[in-house]
Amino acid sequence: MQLTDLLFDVSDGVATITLNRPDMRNALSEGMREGLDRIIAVIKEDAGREIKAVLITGAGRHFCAGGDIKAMQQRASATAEQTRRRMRRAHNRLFDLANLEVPVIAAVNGFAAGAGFSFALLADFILATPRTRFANSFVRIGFVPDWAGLYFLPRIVGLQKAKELVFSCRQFGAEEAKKLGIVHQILPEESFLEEARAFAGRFRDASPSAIGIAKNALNHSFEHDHRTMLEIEAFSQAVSYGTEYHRQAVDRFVGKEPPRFNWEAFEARAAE
Amino acid sequence: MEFKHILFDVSDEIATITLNRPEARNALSQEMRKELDVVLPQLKEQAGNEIKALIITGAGRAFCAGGDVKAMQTRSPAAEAGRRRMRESHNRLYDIANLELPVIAAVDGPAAGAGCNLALAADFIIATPRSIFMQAFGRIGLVPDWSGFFLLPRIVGLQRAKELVLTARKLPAAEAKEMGIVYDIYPEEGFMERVREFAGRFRHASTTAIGLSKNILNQSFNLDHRAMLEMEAFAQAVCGGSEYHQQAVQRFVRKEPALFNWEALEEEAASGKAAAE
Repeated sequence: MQLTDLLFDVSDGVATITLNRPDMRNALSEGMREGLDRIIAVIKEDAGREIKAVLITGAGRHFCAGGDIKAMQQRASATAEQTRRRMRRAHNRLFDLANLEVPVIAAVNGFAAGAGFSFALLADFILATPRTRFANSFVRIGFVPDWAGLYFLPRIVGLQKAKELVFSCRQFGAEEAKKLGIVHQILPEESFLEEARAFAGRFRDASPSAIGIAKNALNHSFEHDHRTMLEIEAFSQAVSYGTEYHRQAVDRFVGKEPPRFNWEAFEARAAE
Repeated sequence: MEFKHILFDVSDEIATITLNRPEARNALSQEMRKELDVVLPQLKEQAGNEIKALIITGAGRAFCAGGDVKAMQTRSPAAEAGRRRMRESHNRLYDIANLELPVIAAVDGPAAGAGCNLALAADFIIATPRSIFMQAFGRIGLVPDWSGFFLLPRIVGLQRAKELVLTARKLPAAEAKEMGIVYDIYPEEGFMERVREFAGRFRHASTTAIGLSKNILNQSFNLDHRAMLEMEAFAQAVCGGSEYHQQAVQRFVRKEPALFNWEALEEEAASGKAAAE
């Protein structure tokens, strides 16, 4: 695939997207946006088959600085209609990224700010290093959070914390982000990508259909009522019962064989 | 009432359901499901009258291991049959989560899969240090059922909910408390006595006010601000007319101690424990 400001690689069942504009702290460019759309189409097609997990990271010392503020200066004369149209071009991309039916892991090395922060929130797991810094920096330049931040942030940290982070635009580090439930795990800098890849690789042994459906349902939980979620659960389980993976897992359980997907076993192996 | 796979008891206005299949770590059997369906209408009927709180617990050294995996081996893999079987539980799951009573899950030992989600349907989970919580479904290629999709993200937030579901990992009691899943951890010795003491505090409260608050809070995340204000107005109109409220106001005006005072109840429990020691 011919890509601008992006690298894309699939190996051992893990697809890796690298935001590759290190001189600009990986600020989002037009080429990046357009490339992401093509990559997403590939991942949707191969999800659960060749691709069992997606890793998103930034080249160099940062994850993503967000929108390109220099480019904003050139767009200063754009009308509200033009801006709205430009923003809406991102909608399918943002929805697809958040709802890819494979686990998506954001490996956030360094800075994730503005749309770069919202981008990380689209992932299912955010892994960080002690050096990682986050900032919801939109308000500082008179903007409101975009890239679905208004949707995901309160769902992850609750309403009051979301308001604080949005209004104050303050920077916060990996430890605080972990306490807030934004960061899943903090890994050492030296072996960061290696460990992040190993983490993503654990999902090779899981049922792609169970993971995909569970993610889809959880993503919409807050806007449905209890009954609706029960109906979704019934459809989901009906599909899951018929999968080869489930039949095999039950046979293994009854035959007292170890399960294929065992998080504690992965953790014990990783600790060795 | 005589049951095969549960025990049901009401004493001192506290109802207790004990999942009673300790040899199978209280895994959910067909009988257990049917027996819960017999008990639930009685709880709904007596809530606020003879019954002021409900405790759900497990016999032996487990809370509940979830669905019966052995029984899954003989089940039809057809999607229609699976969906029908799941939908048989819907009224039960909705009723458990919306009983207009404080519901306390007393979890001593593992609560896995549907057993974990049964605990989440309670208002308070009280655990022992050896309790383990686990969204085990992913290990056998299933998705969370028994209302996990609804309850879990509401309790721990979206990212942690995904983590627990996607990894299917074991969550120890202390970490579950940090996440807001477990309300409190009590020692194994004297566990049920202390849980009963906790549940018994609600005997002093207005079950109407507790029931309406619970009903509305359970729906808070999926309704808009206006709808919640309307619910609040209707609920307060009901509470304002209750005998409990009238009495409580009288007591307040006459400077008598409140009927329901959590700090006083906590102190009483602490001094009772000290006296026993």
